[in-house]
Amino acid sequence: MAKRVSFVGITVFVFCFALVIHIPASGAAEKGPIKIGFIAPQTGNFAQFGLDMISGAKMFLETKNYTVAGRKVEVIWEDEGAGPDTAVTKARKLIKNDKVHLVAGIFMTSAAYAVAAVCMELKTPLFLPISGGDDLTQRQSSPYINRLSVSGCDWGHVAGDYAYKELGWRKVVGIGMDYAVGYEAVGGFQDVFESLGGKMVQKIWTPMNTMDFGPFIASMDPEVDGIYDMVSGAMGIRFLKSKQESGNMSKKGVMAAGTVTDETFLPALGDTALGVMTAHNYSATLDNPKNKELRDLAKKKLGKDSNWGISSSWVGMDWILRAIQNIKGDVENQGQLIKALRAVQMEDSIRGPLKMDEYGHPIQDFYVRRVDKAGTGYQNTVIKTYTKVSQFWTWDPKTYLSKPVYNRDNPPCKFCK
Amino acid sequence: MPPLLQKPKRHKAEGEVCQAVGTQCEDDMNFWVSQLFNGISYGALLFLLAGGLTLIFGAMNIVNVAHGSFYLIGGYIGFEVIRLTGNFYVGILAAGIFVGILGLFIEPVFLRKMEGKEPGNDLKQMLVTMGIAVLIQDSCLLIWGGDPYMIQTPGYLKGAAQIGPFFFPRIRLFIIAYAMLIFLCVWWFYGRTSIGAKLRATVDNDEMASGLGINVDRIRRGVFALGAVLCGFGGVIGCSFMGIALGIEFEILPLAFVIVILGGTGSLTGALVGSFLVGITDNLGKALFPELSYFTLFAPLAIILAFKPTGLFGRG
Repeated sequence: MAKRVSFVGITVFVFCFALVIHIPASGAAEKGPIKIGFIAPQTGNFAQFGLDMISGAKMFLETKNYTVAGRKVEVIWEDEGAGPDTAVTKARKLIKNDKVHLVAGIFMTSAAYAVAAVCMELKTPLFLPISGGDDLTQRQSSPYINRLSVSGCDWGHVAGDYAYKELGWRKVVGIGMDYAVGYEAVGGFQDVFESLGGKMVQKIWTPMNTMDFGPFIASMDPEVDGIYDMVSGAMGIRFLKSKQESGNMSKKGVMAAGTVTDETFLPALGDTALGVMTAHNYSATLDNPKNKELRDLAKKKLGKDSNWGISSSWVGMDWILRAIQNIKGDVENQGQLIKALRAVQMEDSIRGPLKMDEYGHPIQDFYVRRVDKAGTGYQNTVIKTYTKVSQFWTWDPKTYLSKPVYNRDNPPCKFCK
Repeated sequence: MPPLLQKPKRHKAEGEVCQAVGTQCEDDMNFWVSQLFNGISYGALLFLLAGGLTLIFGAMNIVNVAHGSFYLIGGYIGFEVIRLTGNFYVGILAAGIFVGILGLFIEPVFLRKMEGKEPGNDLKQMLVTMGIAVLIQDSCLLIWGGDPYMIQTPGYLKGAAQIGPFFFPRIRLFIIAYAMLIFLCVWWFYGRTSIGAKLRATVDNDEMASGLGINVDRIRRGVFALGAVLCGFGGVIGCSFMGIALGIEFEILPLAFVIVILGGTGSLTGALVGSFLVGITDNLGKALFPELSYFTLFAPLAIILAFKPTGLFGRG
């Protein structure tokens, strides 16, 4: 009995203590903290990307001491899991229960499309530092959605131009994963490459979870000048390795989407990736003081080099805090917050100047990178910079948007046999 | 919709010899030979996984969902050991031993109570082994992170060997040879030794075997460990070919189950034949009708099971 009494006593004491602590705290700050919900995969297939995203965001917030415009920033970290369904549940929870002012993060394109719909329905701004999906800032653009990422078509447009003009390729085969981002990257490449006069003679869509790329490589036309590749992640490693070990395709050059040779994969790719070129909005080797600061910090805190996941949410958090700073921390005024998120401009971010177009997609520099040996490891050496690239490439937005989005059958493969 | 992957038309290369008559023959031959070869080598890799699974499934009636995880963990152990010792074969051996010990521990602790043919047992086994699989996946995430790894093979296994006009990747040749070696060893053990005879007796009728004085528990424990060892070997080989990444265990597991059911549970020859069938079908399916790749994989299975529910080499 004595034990029971003391237990009740402790509970009451703790409860009262909490009340005492709580009252002055809520009295001190008039509006409470600025709440940001951050969704990133912490379990499942993309866990490492998500953990990198979270590290990048946390490292940036630490440099600002979790404060902006005199208000505390409180971030609620949620797990995206391995599919859009989890992300949607978490987004609803963040908006309805936690009452966040802004949802940020999201890795998968499919999850971004799904969460975008939720945010538009519940009228909460969404900020995507990393995930793509062409139409989110094209045919389905909304004032609620802003991003600083690359979309599939960006990768393809830049690579198509480089392959035709600098590498002198005229005939290529395109290989992409059999879902949105694969179609968008390969489609973007084909559109630019063929508008210059090149020919894409084969388009191959590989199912998700392809274990063995042998059959696809054996089916490739051996007379092409090169391969455009949007097969990333663990599958990307399998593809490049199989290609390297095949007989007649092993000598062909590869241009790929940025994620294929992300710093995360370079150790596993090893010599297989040497010479592979990619178009991307970041490389850990970018030579500027801000990027150096990030790399040093990442080495110190995480014990590894910076990469796409870390750098994207680092810049993304920077962008969000600048927007909030510009409206003096008044995030309760949502109309103002939405406008501010689109109006930020950065002259000297870790990856060059950044601003947003009227559809909420960044106009940013793109880097053509080549995988080289560097000391004991490998790096993405920047060999050419395309400045101020728009998601519409050099086309007029209205003309561009009147065409259907790049998908499995579009643009049609005119030169396929 | 235009076809998305066509067989490319090729011109005859200098010095290429064509056996058959016809203008397109050398192109066709090249295509078919390389596709068949790819299919066989993929099948050989699948056998390393399915061979162990069929023993566990057949001898013990355990639906082992964690089998893919043995493969995964074998890959990681192999990766670490190869990095430390620099020797590919030591890595394979170490992975096999480690996963074998894991199997020796898992079977008596978690699965012993739900073995046998009582109704509902298979569901319990699936849940428990699923739990083990998730546990292993999260432990691997904790230890190795989510970054994919690639096991570096010795130099003589890199690149392609040219035989006549055809190119054969060396690693694939190695996988085929290795799978055949494993098959012969296990087949000899299974069919020609007294332990193997006891094992087969247990597969056919465990109660009768027990009545004849065979220590069924020990046999079961041994079989589970042996299946795990094979899987650990397979993990290292597979991961030097496809890389290790979290999630790979659930990508490859359905194929192993297809093979075991197709070949007949408990039949090693069945697993070998099934592996080659699945490997070749999967390959040709992807090359010729990429949109239908799952259909071309599962349709033959459905047809075969409709006529022979016990699988090709299974005994009813």
